[in-house]
Amino acid sequence: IGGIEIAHAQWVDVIGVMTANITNPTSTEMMKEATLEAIGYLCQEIEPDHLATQSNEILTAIVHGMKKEEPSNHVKLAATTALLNSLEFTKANFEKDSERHFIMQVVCEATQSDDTPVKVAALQCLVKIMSLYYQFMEHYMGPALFAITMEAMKSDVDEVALQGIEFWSNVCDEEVDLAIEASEAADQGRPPEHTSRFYAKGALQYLVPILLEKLTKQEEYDDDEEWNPCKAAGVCLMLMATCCEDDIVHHVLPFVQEHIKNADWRFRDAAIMAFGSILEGPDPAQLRPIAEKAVPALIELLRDASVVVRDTTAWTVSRVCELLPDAVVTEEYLNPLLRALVDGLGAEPRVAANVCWAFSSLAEAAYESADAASDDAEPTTYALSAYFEPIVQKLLETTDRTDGQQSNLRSAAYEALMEMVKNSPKDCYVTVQKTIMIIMERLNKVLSLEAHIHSQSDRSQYIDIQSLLCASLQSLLRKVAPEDAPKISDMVMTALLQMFNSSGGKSGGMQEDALMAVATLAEVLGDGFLKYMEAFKPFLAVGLKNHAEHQVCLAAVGLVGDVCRALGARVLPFCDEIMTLLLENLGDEHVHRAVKPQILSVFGDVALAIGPEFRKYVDVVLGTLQQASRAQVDKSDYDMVDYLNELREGCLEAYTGIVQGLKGDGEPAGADVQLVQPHVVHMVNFVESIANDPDHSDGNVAAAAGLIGDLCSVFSVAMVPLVDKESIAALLTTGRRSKTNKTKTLAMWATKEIRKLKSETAA
Amino acid sequence: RFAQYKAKLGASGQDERRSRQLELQKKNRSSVVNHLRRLAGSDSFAQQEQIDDE
Repeated sequence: IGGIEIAHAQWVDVIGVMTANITNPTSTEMMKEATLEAIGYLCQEIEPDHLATQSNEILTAIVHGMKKEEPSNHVKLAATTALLNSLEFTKANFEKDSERHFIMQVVCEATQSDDTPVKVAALQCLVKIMSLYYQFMEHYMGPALFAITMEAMKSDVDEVALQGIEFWSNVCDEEVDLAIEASEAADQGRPPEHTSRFYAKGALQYLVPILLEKLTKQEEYDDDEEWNPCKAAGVCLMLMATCCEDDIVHHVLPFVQEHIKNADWRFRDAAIMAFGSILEGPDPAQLRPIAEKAVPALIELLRDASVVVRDTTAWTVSRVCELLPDAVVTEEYLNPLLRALVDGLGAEPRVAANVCWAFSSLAEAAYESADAASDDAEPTTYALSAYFEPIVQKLLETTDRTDGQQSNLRSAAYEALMEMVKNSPKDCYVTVQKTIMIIMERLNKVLSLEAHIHSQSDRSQYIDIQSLLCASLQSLLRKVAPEDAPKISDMVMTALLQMFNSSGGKSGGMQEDALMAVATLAEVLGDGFLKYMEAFKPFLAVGLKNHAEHQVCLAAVGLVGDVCRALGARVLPFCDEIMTLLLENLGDEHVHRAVKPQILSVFGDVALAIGPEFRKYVDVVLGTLQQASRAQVDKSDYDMVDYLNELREGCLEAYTGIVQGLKGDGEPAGADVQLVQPHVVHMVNFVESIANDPDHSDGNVAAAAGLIGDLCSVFSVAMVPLVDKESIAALLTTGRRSKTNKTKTLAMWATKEIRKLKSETAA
Repeated sequence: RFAQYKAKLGASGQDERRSRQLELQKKNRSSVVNHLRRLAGSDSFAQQEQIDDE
């Protein structure tokens, strides 16, 4: 009740009444405990802003209950938990030295309690304080926090050790963020707002031995769902490596070398885990020779007697393949490694799933290092070519394993197959073609089984498999040569239409993957997709009307864009229906906001496809864009700032599509482009508002520069007074200095267009 | 933290497919428009052209 009423500025004295309950010397233990619990719940429930003005009173009550003089552990625990819940709105108290000292003293004392729940709750407070108030911790780190948390990490009580480890994991998270902030600030030539105190680096030599020791405390029969200090230590070591980079290597490497061949599986596993954990962070040039030396041992350990060791090794190999591919894609190691990995696909599901990830990474690495004529061209061959067919064959077998549900093995195997296909060079095309036929056979088989599925779990497996088959089809279709696409398209489209019609087609996840497969087919077929439009149209409408599952709606909207690009002007007969649905979605508050920017961009796609025929939609679309381009959001919410940028990019892409579409490809520009003229001033104002917004994205700059260039090339010297402004010049300067080539190109092009017009005016 | 334990580096699954598809759609859209702007295939334009940043 308090949670509701306080938010509406009612029951104003409730906090006062509760504070009195706690500080009153005659209050019973039970009264104090219940009151502190109530405060804890209120703090958890209510938006921090509503309690900020009463933070002093609340803190007084809580701290009173936490003091070491308090005889009852029940009261202490309730008070400590309440503190944990109130930390978010006590910022003002943390900013005052004396108040902060007092809070910290009480919390640190509570960490020394003999009562485990109190100790754990106090340590949880320290973990959260570290995240929320890192900048104020310098005074306490050396004299207190370091010793308290080190002691906690060493504890044999799991809950205590977990909090100690979590504290340092949080320190690493904070310091990684601060390093990013520092490098961004350096790029912009300004000092960072917050600075790192490098606590993790300073404590490395003391922390790493404890973490390594914890790594050797594996459970004999690991429960995937259980969290324990051994797993937490693995994560913490990984974060330490990301945070401390090169410095961690010499603290960890001796342990790896000493134990990688230890007779005790626990030490072998800990050694590999430690090695796998430090692969990201340190300079790859420093790690590469170390990884090269380790590869033979890793190949051997993929066949270790212990399943835990095999699992950790497969995970480590997948990380080496991802992070240091040059260490394995070598003449000496590739062949034996691939053999061991193919064998690994037959191992226990958890091991095989990690092997699948290794194949995914290897495929990408090998493809990237293959020689190609240009960046976009497909290479002729690559290091995996000779092994491609047997690997694909084995992955297909793996997707069919009866235990594929365990450890996500089936998905991992399909994902690996998709990566292998996506990253395949020309000389593997025959295998790609064969694989299409296999996937189509499977798809048809699955569809024919539908009537025989009765149980809920079978149904959800059935839907998952359909999704994965559609997703595989997407990557396969993307590799199909344009001349081969029409030969298979009837077969593919028939199966996909059947799938939309099936009961599985009612599942959002499956619909989404099927829509994406249709999009890929449209892309490879071009206007050859036209013959499927009549049959497909009803399912596209179902997707566009799926407001409950916004990801499906989003896929359908994106697909409209793909169909427009594929069919060009031939999409016209379908436009009235599509445009009606898109406009309805835009105006419908039940449609998830993530869909709306995409709809705007797709207006541009429709305009580009049908050119002057877009004139009938111009008024309504430009009116909608004018409204959307005026949207404002709460700037303190980062998600909303990102959303605003997406919405703006959608508007810009729509404007560009409409201007370019109505202008047409020929000279002179199509007369219909004059329909846009009354909106030009608004468009430029909109670009200026983006220019003046310090939170604009690089994508906004690119799209805004593009639109300015488009308007200049259509409306010529009339644009000069509109665009010859400081804010636009500043935006284009930002664009020319962008790290993204696309943004640079567009900003330079727009700058040149403006200069050209200015010199024409001057002449 | 649980998801970070033995985490797979390369993102995957439907989320990844979604973002790849969106990225590809953006790329295709921009290549259509840049073709109309006669900027097609001009990624190197940025390096070739010299415009002073006064």
